Amino acid sequence: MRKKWTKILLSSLLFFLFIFPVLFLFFKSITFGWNWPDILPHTLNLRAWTVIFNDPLIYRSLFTTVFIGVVVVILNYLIALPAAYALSHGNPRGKTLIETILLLPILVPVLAIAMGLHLVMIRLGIADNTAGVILIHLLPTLPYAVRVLKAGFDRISPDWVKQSRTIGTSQAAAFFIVLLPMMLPSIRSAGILVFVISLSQYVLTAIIGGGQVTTLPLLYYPFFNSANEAVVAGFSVLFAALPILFLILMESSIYLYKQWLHRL
Amino acid sequence: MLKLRQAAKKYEDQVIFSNIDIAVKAGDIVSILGPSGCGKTSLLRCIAGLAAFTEGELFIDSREVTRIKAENRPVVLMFQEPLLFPHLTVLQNAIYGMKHGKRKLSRKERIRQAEEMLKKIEMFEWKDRYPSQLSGGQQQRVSLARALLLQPSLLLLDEPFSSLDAHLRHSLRIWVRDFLKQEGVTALFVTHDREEAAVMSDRLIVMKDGKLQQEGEPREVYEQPLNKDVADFMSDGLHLDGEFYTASSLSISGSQAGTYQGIIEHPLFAYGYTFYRIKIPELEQSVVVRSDEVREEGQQVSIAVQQKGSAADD
Ligand SMILES: Nc1ncnc2c1ncn2[C@@H]1O[C@H](COP(=O)(O)OP(=O)(O)OP(=O)(O)O)[C@@H](O)[C@H]1O
Ligand SMILES: [Mg+2]
Repeated sequence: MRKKWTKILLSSLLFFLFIFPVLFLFFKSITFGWNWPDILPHTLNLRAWTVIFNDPLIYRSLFTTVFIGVVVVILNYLIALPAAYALSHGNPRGKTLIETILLLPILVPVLAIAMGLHLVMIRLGIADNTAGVILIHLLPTLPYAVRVLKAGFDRISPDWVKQSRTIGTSQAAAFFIVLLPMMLPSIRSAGILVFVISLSQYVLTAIIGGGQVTTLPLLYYPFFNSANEAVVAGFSVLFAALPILFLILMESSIYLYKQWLHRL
Repeated sequence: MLKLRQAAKKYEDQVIFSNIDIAVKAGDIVSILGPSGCGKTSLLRCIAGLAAFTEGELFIDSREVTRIKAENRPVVLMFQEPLLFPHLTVLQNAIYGMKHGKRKLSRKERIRQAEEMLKKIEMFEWKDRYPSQLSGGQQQRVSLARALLLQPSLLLLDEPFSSLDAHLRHSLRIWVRDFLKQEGVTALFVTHDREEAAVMSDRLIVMKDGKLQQEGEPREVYEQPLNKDVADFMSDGLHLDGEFYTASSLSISGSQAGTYQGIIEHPLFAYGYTFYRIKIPELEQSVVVRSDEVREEGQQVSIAVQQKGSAADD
């Protein structure tokens, strides 16, 4: 009985915190002149969405945002999976030092590091372009990815890989066929976390992108001052939809991976 | 087959085992028996290549493999737990090693061999189940199938039955022994259960504190333990003046005559007979002796010892 009530309470909390705002914004974006104290809007209209979808800048920035987000997630996996595995199951020299360095971007204001890195990137010629932005997005994401994945590896006994090796399989097989399926929950969390962090970067993208790389947040904040509330609302809905798009993308990849896993 | 020479293992300054010489003949099942913490698991892991020997040389099939990686040794280690991969079915688990290992077989051949092996271990009907749907004993059988499908030169088993209940343990170890014999597998088997060692193996090796104590056939070790440690661990009997007398040379002789005075601690029932554990305060030892008479706990008895050299059948 108590369990049921907790469930209802939790679901309603979730609804009011996360789903209701988005729904509200969505309605707001397709109405006109929906003001307090009206309970229901007077007229429905799609003007805000026409504004949004007629702007080529938005199209392009949508694509750029998703592209940067996905590449940042992939790079995070490539770096954080081996790093987290080594930190968890291995015994690398200077374990504490590595962990501290990985925590640094969370402790030190990222802005300070970004300023310094910007100068380096100008020298290297990767400032003001997408590659630079992708690299700088690793700064606020990688520490979290390593943390989440390390916690995942910590829960897995090292005997699994040993069992696989004594059976005579390569390290790669042990990793992709034995460890990875056990890591899926952590891999999911890390992926969505990294994508959302990358999605919400404004200052880092602005500095390193130098105005050349326009992701959604860069367009969004100026829009915020625009008088048209419906357009702002529509924009926000678009923003909220991106993680969902990412989830669909990730789940499809995981589905394909599982198919591959179950071949004999 | 397997030849281990002067092997030692140290973790920093702690010596886990040293001066280990082991030879195993093809087709033999050899048990390594010893109390908890004596280094059995460490030794097996070093032979499997999952840890490195600090000293010594290891030969398998006359080839030196001391420095060869675990995945390239013709050896499979079965752990205490079955460690079946939880997201793969029984059949997929059985095939895993053939598919991703060194043996290059066609897909059809892999499936044929795996299915045949699952039939042999009577798990064919379960081939599409997941490990979590199997009992502990069934999981251990599938684990054995997965190992044997690789046709290892040497199979290493680290207390594979210790997580099973006593009843299942008894039936499974006989089943495994017969199966290994039937398949002609050479195996090195670790346990701390002397009955298991005696049932399973052609020869046994007693280990204590990282040293080999004695090697021989189970009966030989039981009847003629070389030292007190082996006797305490592997045999039943009394140490008298530096010599060991097995329980078969002891008898309870009432309370009057006899050589040593003892107190009945408790009875034991096994294999249709009654045994009594008897404490002998003057020797600071306990011994288990068979007796057909009913005796009370706390009762005073005398223990008669049949001297060595006298005929056993009088
Ligand atoms: N990785 C390691 N680092 C340091 N010491 C270790 C390591 N592995 C094992 N040891 C030590 O080696 C000794 C022997 O351990 P081992 O597991 O080989 O014993 P065992 O005979 O298998 O015992 P059991 O019957 O309880 O399984 C123990 O004292 C243990 O603390
Ligand atoms: Mg052990």
